[in-house]
Amino acid sequence: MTDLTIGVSPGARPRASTEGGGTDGSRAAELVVGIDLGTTNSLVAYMDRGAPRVIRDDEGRGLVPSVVAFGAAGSVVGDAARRMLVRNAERAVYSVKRFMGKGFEDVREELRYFPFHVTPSQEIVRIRIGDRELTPPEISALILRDLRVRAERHLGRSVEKAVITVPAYFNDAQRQATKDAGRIAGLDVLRIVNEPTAACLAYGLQRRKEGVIAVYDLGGGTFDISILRVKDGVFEVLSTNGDTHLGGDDFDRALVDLVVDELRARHGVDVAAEAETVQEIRLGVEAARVLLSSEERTVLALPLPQHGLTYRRELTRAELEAAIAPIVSRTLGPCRSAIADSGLRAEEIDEVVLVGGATRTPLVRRKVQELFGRTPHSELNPDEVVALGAAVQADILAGGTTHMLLLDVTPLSLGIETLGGAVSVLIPRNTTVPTSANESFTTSVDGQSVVDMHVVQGERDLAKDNRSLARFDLRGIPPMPAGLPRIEVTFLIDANGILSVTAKEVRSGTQASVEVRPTYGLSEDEVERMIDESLEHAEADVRARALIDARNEADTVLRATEKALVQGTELLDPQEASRIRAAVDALAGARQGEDPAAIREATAQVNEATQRLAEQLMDSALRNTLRERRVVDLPAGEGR
Amino acid sequence: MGEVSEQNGSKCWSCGGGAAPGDVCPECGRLQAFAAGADHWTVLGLERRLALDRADLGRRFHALNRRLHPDYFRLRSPEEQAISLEASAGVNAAYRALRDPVSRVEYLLELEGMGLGAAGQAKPPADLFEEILELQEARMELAAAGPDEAPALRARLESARAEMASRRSGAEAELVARFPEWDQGDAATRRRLLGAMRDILATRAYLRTVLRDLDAALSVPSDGGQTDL
Repeated sequence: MTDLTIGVSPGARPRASTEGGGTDGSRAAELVVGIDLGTTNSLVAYMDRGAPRVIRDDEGRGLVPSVVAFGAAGSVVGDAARRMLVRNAERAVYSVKRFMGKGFEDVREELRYFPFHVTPSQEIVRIRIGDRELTPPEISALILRDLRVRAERHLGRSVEKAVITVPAYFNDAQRQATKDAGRIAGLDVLRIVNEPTAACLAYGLQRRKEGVIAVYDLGGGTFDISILRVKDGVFEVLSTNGDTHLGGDDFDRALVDLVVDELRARHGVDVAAEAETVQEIRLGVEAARVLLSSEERTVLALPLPQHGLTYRRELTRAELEAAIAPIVSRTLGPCRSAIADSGLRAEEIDEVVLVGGATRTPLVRRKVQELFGRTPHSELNPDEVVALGAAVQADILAGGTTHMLLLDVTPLSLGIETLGGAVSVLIPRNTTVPTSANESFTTSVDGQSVVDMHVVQGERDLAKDNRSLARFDLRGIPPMPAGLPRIEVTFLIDANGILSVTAKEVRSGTQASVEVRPTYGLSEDEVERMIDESLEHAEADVRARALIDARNEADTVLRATEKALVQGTELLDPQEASRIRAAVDALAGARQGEDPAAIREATAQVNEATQRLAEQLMDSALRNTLRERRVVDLPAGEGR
Repeated sequence: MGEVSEQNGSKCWSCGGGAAPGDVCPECGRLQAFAAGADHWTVLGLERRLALDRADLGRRFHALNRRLHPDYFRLRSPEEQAISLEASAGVNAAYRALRDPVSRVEYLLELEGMGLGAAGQAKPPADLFEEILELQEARMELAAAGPDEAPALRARLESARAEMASRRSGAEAELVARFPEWDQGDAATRRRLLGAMRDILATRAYLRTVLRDLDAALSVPSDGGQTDL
């Protein structure tokens, strides 16, 4: 069977013909894709006959920038959206993962780093784009939908089920928000899987080694450390820790601050309030930072025509490291806690694996090496390994892979608020999931029919210092004297790390109903409404996307035609030349318009007008190539 | 060692054939729930004993999850999915409680109606009472100390911390030392040993609190909750 993904295939061609006709032919395996929904970049992968594979675009790129831009016609995702950041920063949203499952108050501090606007409120974050207000799950859903379309185009079949990864240290609200995003994108999210454990699955499949493995995962916006024991195909997480607000983004912020300060000091220019300029600086320092992972020094040159100057400075790796050292240090505490919680000593860890783009930073590698006393591994592309692992877990759930099993843990202790504001822990952190705990409640007033409880997540002693997850009302308690009812409440954390609560009044045997009021989440009604809205907007977005694609293709054809006209001057007669000119002008005109069909039509006209010229140019190019080959290649002979 | 002989008499919920709890029915292949109220030892297929081999527990934990984890039942009926979810949670709880000697004893005490309760009823060891009061003072002094006095106070607290940590390890070793006797003892012996172990746990709980306070005072990441065993 041929493998079409090797090499660059022109155009996205449905590959249905190579799928499904597999070796056993017994039944079409259920298709479940694995998605790494990252802070900076996202990817989609699937299991291709026993091997996980990242789905790439026509240019071979697997990474889709996690940026959503909102134009007049609709929204776009990825590179096109990223380009909009420096032109219309207020309408482009990036790093939305940092806002998932968060309240406005949680993110208030860091809003100054973002060009888009967030509506002040008591509840979850809402991002204002023009006259629309969107929640982080809705924006994430647009990224997921883009990945879904990418997968559908590549695989030539519809994609409805997915496994989506999250940072291991994500709390219940952040996990639920991710699941909601999947639903809004029209995906059945079969599993939320932790990023470091997904990475470990991918490594496990690759190398089949056993022992204790520490996965150090520093992504764009989040940091995780997980310690696993791998034995006979079982990947058992012993402990996990992290910081969901720590990543490569913070490196860039440190550098942006540095540049903004220097602009003020050296040029007397204050750009802090200029959204587009700050984005330009951010993208510039990010590129420089990436370069400094392999180079010792680079030049940072940022033209700022609006201020009549170009900011220019040399940046050395030493300077970069001085700026980011405090951030890197913040990862070490969670590592030590995870080691302590695993019940092992650092020497007992057999291997350390690096995941996440930010681990390419030499300083990060050095610090990890110092802490664990061994050279960390990074054989698998740290940007792609999480998506590959998600595809493996997807295949386990689809019934394909049966020799592997992931036993993950809940990262944070789950408890309820007791009288006086203290926390009674029901499920301690690092408990293997699924897991459940029971707790009895009673009434304090005669005839009381509702008991409420406040569920929190975290390691602090007081409820107010932990993350409030939800308030639950237990209703339908039969009237009885105070203290007599016994309401048995079961708290279940499933394999996704997501909590559900059920209750029963034991004396009367009645099932009490549980009403959930999530502190930082969407209600079921809201999710339903967003699914509907997403479908409505999807049409507009498809048009916006089609327009961008048509314009891009028009640009490619226009550039090629200009080149051909220069190269082929002597091959053209005046009549043909003027016909081509007319077609080119028509296309340039259509490109200004908003109608993708008209642009495609005009593009086809240009292609047709230049067909003869292109063929002639091809012939002469071929002749030249053959002449060259005759000189260069033939002496070596045709050794077949 | 400790293997429970074939569990007879259980009927498959689906086909009514003979099927062991926590296993798949040999007739129809459906997963069976654990018996209601089965204790952690039963779930892991063990007799009720305190002396357990941790590696063996780990193997049982993996093997059972291999059989009944929800990942393998996603394409089955909702009933079977629910059974798998509950059974898997049961195995996870059993392994977590039994793998650590301290929580193993705590669980046993609870089963025997001698539980320590949520707060663990911490009790200070009599011979350390004075020492602990002095430490309390030293902690407060350290918090208020200037740069001249701090190092000496810190050194004093650090040596006290080492002492308390070794006492805690001692308590845990003492606990484990009773295990074989409990496993082989008659009802009266077992009763007596449970009482003794309960006292050891109370001492240990107290030491743990002292250690946590010391860690906080010395601002080191606390491992007061960890067991050294």
